[in-house]
Order: sequence, then structure tokens, then C-alpha cells
Amino acid sequence: MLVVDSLTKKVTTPNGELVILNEINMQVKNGQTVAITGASGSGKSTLLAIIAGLDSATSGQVEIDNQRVDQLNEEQRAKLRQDKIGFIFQSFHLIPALTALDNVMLPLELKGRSNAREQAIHLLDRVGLSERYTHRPQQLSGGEQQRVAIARAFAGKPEILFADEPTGNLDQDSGDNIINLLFELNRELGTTLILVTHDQNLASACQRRFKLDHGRISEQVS
Amino acid sequence: MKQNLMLAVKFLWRELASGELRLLVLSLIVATASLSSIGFLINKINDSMTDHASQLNGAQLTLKSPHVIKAQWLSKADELQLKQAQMRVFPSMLVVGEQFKLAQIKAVSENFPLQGQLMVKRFRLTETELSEAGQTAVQAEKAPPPGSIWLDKRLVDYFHLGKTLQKQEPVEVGEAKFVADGILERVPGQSSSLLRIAPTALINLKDLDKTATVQVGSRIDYIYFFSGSKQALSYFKQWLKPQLQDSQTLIAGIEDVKALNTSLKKAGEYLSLAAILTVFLSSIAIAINTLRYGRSHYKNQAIMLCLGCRENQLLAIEMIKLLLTGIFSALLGIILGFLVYAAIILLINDLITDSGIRFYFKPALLSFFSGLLLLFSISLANLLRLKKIAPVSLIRNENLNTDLQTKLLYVLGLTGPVLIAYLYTGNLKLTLIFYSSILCASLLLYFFAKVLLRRLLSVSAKYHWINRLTLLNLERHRQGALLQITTFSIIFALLIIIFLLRNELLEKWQQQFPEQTPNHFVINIQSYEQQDFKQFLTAQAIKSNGLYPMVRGRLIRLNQQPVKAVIPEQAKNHNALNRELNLSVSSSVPEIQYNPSGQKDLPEISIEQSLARALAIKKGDRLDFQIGDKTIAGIVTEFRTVKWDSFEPNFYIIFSPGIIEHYPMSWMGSFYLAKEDKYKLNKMLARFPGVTIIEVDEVLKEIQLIINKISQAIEVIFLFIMVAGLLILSSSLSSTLESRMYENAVIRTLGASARQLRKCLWVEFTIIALVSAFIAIMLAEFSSYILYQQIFNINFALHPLLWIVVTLLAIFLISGLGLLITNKIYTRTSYQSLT
Ligand SMILES: Nc1ncnc2c1ncn2[C@@H]1O[C@H](COP(=O)(O)OP(=O)(O)OP(=O)(O)O)[C@@H](O)[C@H]1O
Ligand SMILES: [Mg+2]
Repeated sequence: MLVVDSLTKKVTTPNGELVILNEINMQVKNGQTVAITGASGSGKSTLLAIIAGLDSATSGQVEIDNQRVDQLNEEQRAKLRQDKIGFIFQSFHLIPALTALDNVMLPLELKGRSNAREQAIHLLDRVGLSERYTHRPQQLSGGEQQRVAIARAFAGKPEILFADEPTGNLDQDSGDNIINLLFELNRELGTTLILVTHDQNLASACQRRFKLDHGRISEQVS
Repeated sequence: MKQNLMLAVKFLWRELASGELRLLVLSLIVATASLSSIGFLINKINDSMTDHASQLNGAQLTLKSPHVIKAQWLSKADELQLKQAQMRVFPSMLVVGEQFKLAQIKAVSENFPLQGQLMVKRFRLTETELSEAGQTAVQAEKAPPPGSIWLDKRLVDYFHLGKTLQKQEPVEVGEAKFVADGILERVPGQSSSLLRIAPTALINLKDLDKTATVQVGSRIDYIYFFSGSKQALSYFKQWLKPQLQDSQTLIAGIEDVKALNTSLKKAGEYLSLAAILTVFLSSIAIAINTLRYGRSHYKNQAIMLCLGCRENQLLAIEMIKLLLTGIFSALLGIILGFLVYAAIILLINDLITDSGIRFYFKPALLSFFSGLLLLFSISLANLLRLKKIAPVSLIRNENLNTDLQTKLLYVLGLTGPVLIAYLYTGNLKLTLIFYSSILCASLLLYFFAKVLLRRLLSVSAKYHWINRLTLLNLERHRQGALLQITTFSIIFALLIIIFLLRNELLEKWQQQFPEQTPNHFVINIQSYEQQDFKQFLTAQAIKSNGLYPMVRGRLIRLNQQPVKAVIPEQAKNHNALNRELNLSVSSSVPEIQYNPSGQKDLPEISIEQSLARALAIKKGDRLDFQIGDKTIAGIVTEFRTVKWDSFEPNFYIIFSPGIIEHYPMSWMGSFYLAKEDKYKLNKMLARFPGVTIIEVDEVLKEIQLIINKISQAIEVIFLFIMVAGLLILSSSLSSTLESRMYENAVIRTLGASARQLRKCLWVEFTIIALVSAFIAIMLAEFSSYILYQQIFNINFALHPLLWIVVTLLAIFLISGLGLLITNKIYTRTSYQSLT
């Protein structure tokens, strides 16, 4: 269960104070799929970063499984990320020196799993990259890189997966592919999906849709 | 921990394989290789010189005493399993038929010499052998058999013993008769301070009693030789030292061959200087690569944090990676250093044929840890920065490259190289001067380059050959370009200076002993025969630098107090207090200038600086010397440095003229004799029987050989400096690669052709090369002007040819290397570069 309670984010700029997020409230149950949409600059990425514990809010609370994320120290947040959270980024962010397999193994190794290799292979097979274990990110296409990123994100069996524009850099086909994959894994593993997207297809595939507008959030009911 | 280790190994493995660590590893290898090879070399040279000195001395440790030493000392040596040999040295008349001549008799025990070779031309005793061969070749021998006497060539000539030596009448020494059956070519122990009167005759110690020449009160030196393991010897030395009487002296290794020692120290200094330079240059290369590594890994580390890696874990992983990189490179560096050292040894092998190529653990260990220290001190800022990584930047898609505390990196990074330079030279002042002048020069150059670049850009913008794109490029990379120009010009300037001065330094060093350096000393020339002696030298065409008066006196009082009571504790055993010093007078030493305002009633004294320092003697102190049964006093008014390796007569103490002339004075001098002219010594001794000749030609030859060989070794070390310089160039050029790659890809997608891009880059690199070359040449000419004037006293002239060569070389290296390195830009598609 994810609970966001009157979350506000302000930054001071040379032109005075800028309110990026204004009194955001939302609750997401485990296993739900959620889309966050909004115009460019509306604060989607900022919201995501704060919920995931990567950034801090000016005021308000974030709770994941009854744990106050905003009150954790850096060490505890790292633990939280390791145990419960997965990320997918718009520009993939794979580690260039590592092979596809190594990239997927990384979160498992950080957890100290002994069967990291088998699990990673399984996941790569699952995202359809059986032939590409030893390839480096540079040797993969954008869609392939994103699939590796998905495999990596699911490797740690996260309870919540955050994705910031996961299809933003991909063509229609690859994008659809990624969307299908995300939802399949969501169904199989019961992972909560929180997606930031411009993509109407992706948004409408989600169970719940939120829209950010000038720092305020509203849930759209279809 | 194990899991961190595995992760670190995996990362490292991948990074090594991908080549991104290549330059860092290479720089580290060059640093450790140069440090270790220089370390090996210094150790090796020291070792082989100690060996040489032992060979010259006849043993590793020699004890000289005017009487028999305590039996307890010898049994202590036995206990320590030291090998022993003995020698008695005394003057005695040799008689052959009607003729007689004073000789220095050396009676040696069976196992003499312990070290080095006693070279003798033996004459066979049987008639047949004699008629066949006449005389045999020179060979190494131990002591002569009882009944035999081996003679210096000069004695053989004097007695006209010639080829049929053994048929001649017996050679009588005191009451004993000997058969002369060998000509001495080289006797160990001759070239150290033991040498006395030539010519020498060698007999077996067992025959000594038969001669009945040694009686109570006769002048005789008892010489004891010891050899064995280093530890045992140094233990023995420490044990013996406090028990020695004033009249007994210990001679160990090269310490006492002062000239040799000084030359070696200089060699060590040159080598260490080369080491500082290489360390400095490789540190820059390491710093550039670490900086770049840190920059390109910022994102990776943020990703790691996003995946739930703890900060401490990240730190641990990075430390392990660094440690493994360091260990790996340092080991490779030591191996390379050993190979280079081995190659140098092979190159100069006639110097060290005796002991071959040895591995030394200490320099290996030292350079290993130096390599690690270098890497860690320079990487410290990168490690500290880990704490500041914000994973949120991944989501914001911010520029992930910037946030690097470069100032901190420079400051922290300097500590390692400075520490190592200090460690290797043992000279904090030199180290600090070197680094602070480099630092100041860098700052100055940076601002100079800034102005120069701005002017150049504004001027060249008017001309068509430089297009707007290049200007934009240079504008955008201004900071980087300025850093590059500063670094390049310093490197170039250093290389030019080294190149210019290398010859000067080595030549100057080699020329301190030109062809006809005096290789014989003569002492005990009486005042009345001084003029005759000078005439004799001229008549025989012997090259000499004149004669110097001397009086032997012992320092007994300092400021009217007994000297041992007032000097510092650690100076109590100073050699100068235990023996008579050679005192001279300034009228014959023209370079001494006395302070005219000095006290009139007492003569003034010029004292050798290191002696003054050791005994804490200040200007204005009064010194009293005992000469025979009289004393003479003087006031210290001047300190003087003495070149112990000059092979000219040197004096600790020089008096102003006036009083000392009234004391019994003798004269000394030095002169040069080629090997084939050594027969002239006979004439000299026949004409002036009272003088003593000291032969140092063997020692001098050794020193000249060493200097030659070490000069060659130093040339090889300069190669390291060159390689380190090249590493900096390529590191610096490739460190801008990532951002260029991206930018150029963008520009290309906007329609620029590869040709345009290449031309643009070429112009950019060439501008950097030109500016760097210009600054480097000015800096180098300026510094060498100062060095020439201040140190070498050579007339300075500009080096116009050098300007052209350096400029062309700079363009070739920077633009060539730059284009080569950035070639990836065109071979990669824009898509690859942009994603
Ligand atoms: N640290 C900061 N300092 C100043 N302004 C900031 C900061 N972080 C975010 N902003 C501003 O807050 C606004 C929201 O940024 P955010 O990245 O969350 O938008 P976004 O909805 O993700 O936009 P996009 O769809 O373009 O990715 C932007 O106007 C951004 O410039
Ligand atoms: Mg965004």
C-alpha cells in the first residue's frame, strides 16, 4: 500500500519560490497499475522521485507498506530500494561496461543472492533476449536496452515498480512490446506499477490514471 | 564483503576488458616501473661499488693498528664466522748483491686477500719451463709461498732482475734470504688510505720472524682483514667501534674511498631527480584519467544507488576496485621496472660482472606501495565524492558529468607525489621547491594561456581558415583547452629543459675527471727540496698543479677548552679528532680570500664546512692545534667547501700566512702519470728518497668507469620521462572524447560532413598545439637561460632550431594523436553516440 499525504515540493529559484508539487494526495493498493500524466514540466518526474525516496519533499508524507519513506535516512532508503522498489528510466540507464546479463544480475548480486545468474538468465529469456546475454548496451537497440532495463527492474522482485516514460525513447512497436511486457509481469508477480507517461495507449491500459496540472493532482475516472 | 569483492572484481574485469582503464593502468605502470627500476639500479650500483671497494681494500672490513690487537677481537670475529687475513706493513731495506733499496714490505697470511685479486706475474722455478716460456701471464694468487718474495715492477727494474729473475742472487730482507719469483701487478689494499710508500715487496707472514726486522719500537702497521655476511660484519663493526683506540682505524666498503663515495652520491641524486620527474608526470596522467573515470562513472554509481546499493557498499566496491587496479598495475610496473633495470645492467655489464642481475626486495616493496599511494591519493577526491551522488539526477535526466571537486582533487592528489618524491630523494627542500615552482608556473601559465587564447581567437575570427564551428568548439571547451595548454606547455618545457640540460649535466659530470686528472699524490717533500722537485717534474714532463705546504697538527682546543669537552656528543668520535690534520697556508692556495678586518694578533683560519658543522664550530671561534710539542692558534673566519672527488690536494684547515711557516713544514702535490710512464716514479724516488708517493690511478679509473656507465643508465631512465609525457598527452586528449563524441554527433546530425568535422578538430588541436609550443619554448628558454648562467656558467644562446622542431613536434603529437583518438567520432554512427 502506497500512501501519499499532502505532499508539497517547493524550490527557490532566482525569480522567487516555485511550487512544483502542491498538496498531493494519493493512495495506491498493492498490485494496482497507475499512470501519471501531465504536460511537460508539470512535476511528474519530481513526484516519482519523491515517492521512490530519491528526492525529499518540502512537506507532507509518503508511506510504503506503513513505512514513512520521508523519515528514513539514506541507508534505510537504500535498503528500501533494494527490497521493494524497482526503476525503469526513459533513457534506460544501463551500465555501459557490463553485459546485458551482468546488468540484470546486478540488483540480485547487491542483495547477495546466490542464484543470481539463473534468475537473470530466466528474466532475459522472459523479455525475449535469450540470444543477447553477452552483449553490451551499446550493441543493443533502444527497445532491447529497455527490455534489459525491465528485466533488471523485475530482478529484485520489487513490490512497486516506478517507470518514468519507459516508452518515451522508443518507436510505436517497441513501445507496445514494452507495455505488454510490463503488464504481463505485473500480472504474474503482482507488482504495483507506477508509470509516468505521455503515451495515451499506455495510460489507458492502466487501472488508475492521475493527471498533474500546475502541481496539483487529480484522478481521472474513465 | 565477499559479495562486494565479487562485484568489484566483475566491474573491474569488464572495465579492463572495455579498455576504459587502459590509460590509468598504463600511467600507474610507468610510475612504478620508473620508481622500481631506479630503486633497483641505485641498490645495485651501491652493492657493486661496495664490492669494488672491498676488492680495492682486499676485504669488506679492514682494521689498521700500530700494534697487535687484542686476541679477544679476533675470537669475536671467529665467533661471528668472519673470514680473516692479516698483513704487516713496515719499511725495510732490500738488498740484492751490492745494491739496496728501501721498500715497503708487506707480510701477508696465507688467505690474503679475502676480496679482490692479488695479480702477480709468476716466474716458474724449473729450468725447462723457464726456457720455454720465459715468463708467464699475470694470474690471481694468494700469499706468496714461504721463501718467495714478490716485487713491484719498479724494484725489479731497479735491481735489473729482468727475465731471469730467479737465477739472480737472493733478495735479502733483514736476515732472511728470499727467491724473487713474481712481479706484483696489483695488490689489494693498495689504493685505500692504507697506501704508504711505494714500491712494495710481498712476503709470507710465516717468514716475518726470520727477517728479524721487526723489533720493539719499530714502525709497523698491523692490518687485519675481515669478510663475511653483511649482518655479521655490521654487528662486528658496531661491537668493535667503541673499543678502538685513537690510533686504530676501521675501513669499511666505500665509505672511506671518499672520492668514489661522492661520485656515487651524485649518481644517486641524478637518478632520484629522474624519479621525481617521472612520478610527477605519471601523477598528472593518473590524475587526468582518474578525473575522467570519475566523470564517466558518476552515472553508473547513481544507477547502483537506485538499485539499492548502500553508500558504504558503493565506497567499498570502489575501494576494492582501486586497490585491485593498484596492485595489478604496480606488480606489472615492478616487473617492467625489473626488466628495464636488467637491460641497463646488461648494457653496462662490465661494471658488475661480478654479481650479475639481482632482485632487491626493498625497492620493489617501496615502489609497490608508492604506486598504491599515488593512486589512492589522487583518487581520494573521487571516493569522497561518492557521498554526494544524487540518484535523483537519473530521473531528472540532468547533466551527470559536472559536479566534480577538481580543486580538492588537485590538492589531495598532490600529497601522494610530493610524499613519494620526498621518500626517494630524502630531500624535502628540493621536493617542495620542485612542486611549488611547478604549481606557480602552472598558475601563471594558465592565466597567460587564457589571455593568449582569447587574443588569438578574436584575431583569427577575422580570417576564413578558421571557421565558426571551430571557434565555437574552442569557446565551449575553453576551460578544458586552457587546462590542456597549461599541462602540455609544462610537459613540453620540462622535456626541452631535460633535453638541453641532459648533455650539459652528464658532460659536466664526466668532465670533472678529464683525461689527465692527477692520479698520484706525493707527500713529505721537504722545504729545501721543493724547488728541485718542481724542476724535476718539469724536466720529466710530468703534469702537476704545483706544490702545497702542509704541517701536520692535531686539533686540541676549541675556544681554549679541550676540544672533546665542548663539541656535540655525537661528534666525539669524529675522525678529525683522532688523527693529525693536514694544515696548510693560504699564500699558496690562491682562491682563499681573507677578511681584511680580521683580528691581527692571531692568524685567520678557513675551515672545511662539513667539519665545522660536525664539530659545531662557528666563525670567530678560536682553534688550537698541537704541532709536535708546540701549539698554534687561529680564529675561524671562513667556511670552505672542499671537493673530495677532485683528486687535488685538499685541506680541512688553511691558515692565513704569517705564523705557520715557522713550523716544520713539508710540501705535497698531485700529478698525472700514464701507465707506461710509471717507471718515472723510480727516478723520482731515486732522486728524492724521502718523499712518499700515493698511487690512486686504480681508484680514479674505477670512478671514471662508473661515471660513464651511470650516464648511460640515466639516458635510459629519460625514456620513462618521455613515455610518461606521451601518456599525459593521450590521456588528456582522450579525456575530452566523450563530450566531443556527443557534441560532434549532434553537429553531424545537423548536416556537417565528416570532412568538415575533421578539419574543424584539426584546426582546434593545432591552435592548442601552437599555443602550448609557444609557451613551452619561452618557458624552457627562460629557465635554461637561468640555469646556464647560474649553474653551468655557460654562455647562453637561443635555440632557434629547437623552436621549429618543438612546434612541428607539438602539432604532430597533439593534432596527430588527437585526430587518431577522436577518430571514433566519425566511425560511430550518430545514433550510437546519441544514445
Ligand atoms: N531542483 C530544481 N530546481 C528548480 N526547478 C526545478 C527543480 N526540479 C524541478 N524543477 C522544475 O520543476 C518543474 C517540474 O519538473 P519535472 O521534471 O518534474 O517535470 P516533468 O513533468 O517530468 O516534465 P517532462 O514531461 O518534461 O519530463 C520543471 O519546470 C522543472 O524545471
Ligand atoms: Mg519528466
